[in-house]
Amino acid sequence: MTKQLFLFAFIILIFIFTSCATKENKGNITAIIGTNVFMEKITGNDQVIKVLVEEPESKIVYMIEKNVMQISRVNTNYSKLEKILFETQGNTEAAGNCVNENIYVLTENNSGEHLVCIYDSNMKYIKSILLNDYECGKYGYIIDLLITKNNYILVFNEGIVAYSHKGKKEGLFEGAVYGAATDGQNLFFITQTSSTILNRVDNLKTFSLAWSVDVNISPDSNYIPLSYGENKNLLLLPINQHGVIYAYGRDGKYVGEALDLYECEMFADELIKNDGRLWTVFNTVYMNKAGALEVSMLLLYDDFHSSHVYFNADIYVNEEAETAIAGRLDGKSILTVRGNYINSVNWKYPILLYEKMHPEIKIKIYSYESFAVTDYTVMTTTELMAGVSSGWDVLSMTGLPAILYAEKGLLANWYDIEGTEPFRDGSEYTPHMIDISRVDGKIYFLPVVSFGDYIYAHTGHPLFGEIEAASKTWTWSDLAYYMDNVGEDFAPVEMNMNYYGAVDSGWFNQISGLILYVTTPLFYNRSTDRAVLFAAAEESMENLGLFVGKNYFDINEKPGAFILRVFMPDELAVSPRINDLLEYTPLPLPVGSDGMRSVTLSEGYMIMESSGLKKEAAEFIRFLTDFNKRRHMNSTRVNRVDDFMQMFDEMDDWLFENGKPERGSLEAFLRKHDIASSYFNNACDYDIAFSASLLEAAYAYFNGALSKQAAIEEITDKLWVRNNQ
Amino acid sequence: MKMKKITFAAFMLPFAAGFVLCMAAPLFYGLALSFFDIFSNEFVGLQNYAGVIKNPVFLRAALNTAVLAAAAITALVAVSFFISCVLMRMPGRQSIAKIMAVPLAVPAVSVSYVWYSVFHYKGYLNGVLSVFFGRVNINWFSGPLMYLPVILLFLWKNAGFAALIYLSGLNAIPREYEDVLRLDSEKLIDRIRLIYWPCVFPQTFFVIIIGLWRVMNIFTEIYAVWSDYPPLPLYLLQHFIYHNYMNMEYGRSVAAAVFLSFMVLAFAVIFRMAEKRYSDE
Repeated sequence: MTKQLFLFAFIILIFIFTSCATKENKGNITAIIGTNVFMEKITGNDQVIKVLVEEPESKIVYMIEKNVMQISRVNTNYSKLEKILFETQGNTEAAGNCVNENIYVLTENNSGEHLVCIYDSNMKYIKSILLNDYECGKYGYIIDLLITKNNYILVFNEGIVAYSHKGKKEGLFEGAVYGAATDGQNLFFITQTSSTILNRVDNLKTFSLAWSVDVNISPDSNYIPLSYGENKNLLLLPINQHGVIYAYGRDGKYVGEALDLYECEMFADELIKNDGRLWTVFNTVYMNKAGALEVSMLLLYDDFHSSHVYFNADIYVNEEAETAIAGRLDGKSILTVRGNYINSVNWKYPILLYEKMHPEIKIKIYSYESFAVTDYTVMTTTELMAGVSSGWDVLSMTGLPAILYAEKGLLANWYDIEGTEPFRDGSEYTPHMIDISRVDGKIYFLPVVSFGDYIYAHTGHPLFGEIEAASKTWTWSDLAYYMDNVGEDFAPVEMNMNYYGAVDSGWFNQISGLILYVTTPLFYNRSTDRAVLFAAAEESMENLGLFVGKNYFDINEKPGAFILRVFMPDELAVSPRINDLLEYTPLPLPVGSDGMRSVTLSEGYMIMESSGLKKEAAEFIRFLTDFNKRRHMNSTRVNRVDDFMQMFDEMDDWLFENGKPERGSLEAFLRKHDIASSYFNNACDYDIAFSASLLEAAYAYFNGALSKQAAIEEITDKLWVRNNQ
Repeated sequence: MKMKKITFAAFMLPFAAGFVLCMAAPLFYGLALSFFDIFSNEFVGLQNYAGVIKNPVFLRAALNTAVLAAAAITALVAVSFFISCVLMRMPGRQSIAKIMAVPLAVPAVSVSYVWYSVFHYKGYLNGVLSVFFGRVNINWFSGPLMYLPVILLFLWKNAGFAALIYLSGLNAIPREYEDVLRLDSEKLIDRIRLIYWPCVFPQTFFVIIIGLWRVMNIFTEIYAVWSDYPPLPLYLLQHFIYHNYMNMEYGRSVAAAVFLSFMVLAFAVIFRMAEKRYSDE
């Protein structure tokens, strides 16, 4: 009996001990290295992302809780931070606003209980309060933790719960919530009924509304950042409202609104009041499924009434906004950039930053995104011929015939501008990217993205080993030889390769800008199918690239090989048929009669020969590409596989329609693209319009609407026209 | 007299100024540019013209254009004359002819789309034929049949208008002519051969000129269906001009356009001479 009592007492002691331990969420912040705006993800529980902002007089750390995008501000001494370690034992769910320089963090301990932990400004643990009545998920997901004089307020998207500082539940509001803020005593929150309502609650126990006003905002998102400003106004930043910030007084009266100088679009996630100024955090990349939240910059507003953007904390300019605007064009050199897809975030923020770093330069954008590529090309070509391009400095070349422009002497040679090779780090570019930008030994444009065409050969084919070995140097005739030797080894498989329908689906479109079309399988076991392709190939077609589109007909058989145009192989990895693709190995296209392989130029930049700001233009292009490099895993980067695999490990299975592929096979598959692309060391541009016209004859033939001879004649005729006109 | 001349000049001045500034000047400026390299501003003389004349693709395009023009205009004259003969005694013939002229106002691209869906080998025409003859997979856009959709489209668009012109000519023929002919023959073919056709020759000339103008504009429809590179028989001078333009060979492009203009002018002169001679006889 005594023994049993001892055992019971021991269990009780263990229980008490663990309970106490789990309530203690002690922790500090890891070393944060860097200056200016800096982002780092803490390893371990991966719950907190920190942003260090270096201001002129002090260094401030912002912590961003990844699931809720809530930000808390920590005034601190930077040197101390380096030595502090932040740890939590459970999941951190929200970080609250600062009260008396303390930080409040909502966490969940290992027992599933929820606590509010309080830290001082150095993130030293003070105490924690257990929230007994908080049921996770009951009111949706948490969007905010607010602290008032008497309460902790948990703001969910479907309700608000107020607790006393002792953890006792005091008040409840049930309904849709779009954003909330507090002045330290009262609660303000946004609800949506038939219109958007801003509410104020003074007594959180009864949750009776002091006033409600219609703020006349139609939210495009389920979250509207709301902040209580230093000037005692409530500031609302509706997402997707082009950066308009609305201000209301404490009495709910409309005060005014301010337009951002540059559109906030959908990237503004949070408003933070601080030192009489207003901060907006811009996420240039959304939180992805792997949990990576990239915070690229902070936008800093001054106080609301002169609410103009000062870009980025590290280049904060403490000057009057009006002066800043008025001085924008005075005495500055205007660098003109023209293109059809240059109004995106890829351009906007680098330009803002560049202008701040180079006060003597003003970048002026002429964007023609409403134009189709062909229309834009016709217009640009006409303007260049008409000689009205004298003001242009930089030309974005998406779809433009850059080589033609270079041949006509319209583009500046990079060697003449800088006296050096423009590819500072050749390892960042696949060989064909460098090669294709060279015209008569000179570099006239800086390519950023190109499409590579690969032949995907089935690894199970009896001739695969031989084919792979031969692919390094093979010609179209060699390929023809292998095609002629392919037997009927491939039975029909359950593989839906009908991209024609799939392209229409939004999701597929999102992830597969990379796939333009799948060709007729070259190894199809029908010798007649191949005749058209090779009749063309023999007529120097190979340098132009004849790729028979998949769009018009279905492939119900597993091909021995096919040609696929690939933009980013890493994105290929999340295509719905990735597991089928893993059975194939990408090989380089055959070499043409002049020893070249074709690729398609896409995005890139040219400097006009007529520009008076060539050096500045070159510098800006470098800056632009460097800025976007870290945000894009584009085809200029050979190390993208590593980046992708890191993300892949954390991706959900739902991304993969047929199940997640085996990691090792996927990595090997992606790396083979780099190997294959390394053989594109002598590349030429690919004429899409011409190739498309050839496809018509091929389609007609494959559909039995044209005889083989007629198709060959038609293709040969078109080649003759193109080469002689 | 002098005052009269001044008044005449004053009234003519606005038109003359507009004509010179908006039509003649750009035309001659463009023409002048064909003697220069527009990027280096170097005078190249007749180099662009020589290059065009020697170019085998240009010669083929010119031949194609002439063949298509001849075929399309012949078909237009025949069909529209036939329609007008059918309609000439019909009640409400003017209204019917006017309705038939409506396609002229339909934008070329939208018509091309319909034509594409009809004549594509997966289109409606093959679908309908398949109902009666089993699986039909005729390629109307390639091979010897490719002229058919082009000429049908041309006729659909222009035959109604041309018929309207013919109808006005036929209706002006005095009844007495037919009464006199009936004394010798009651055959319709004789009426057409001996009365209708000779009497509407001025209208025929007009239809030919209109047809020539319309053929020169059929590039839009062909481009909408076949894009940049149609099958060789449909590769017209306009394609050559367009491609050279897009290749920034402006001088060659203008040179080819000049040749095209001369070609049209030559056709018009020949027909004019023929008309004059026939009228005299």
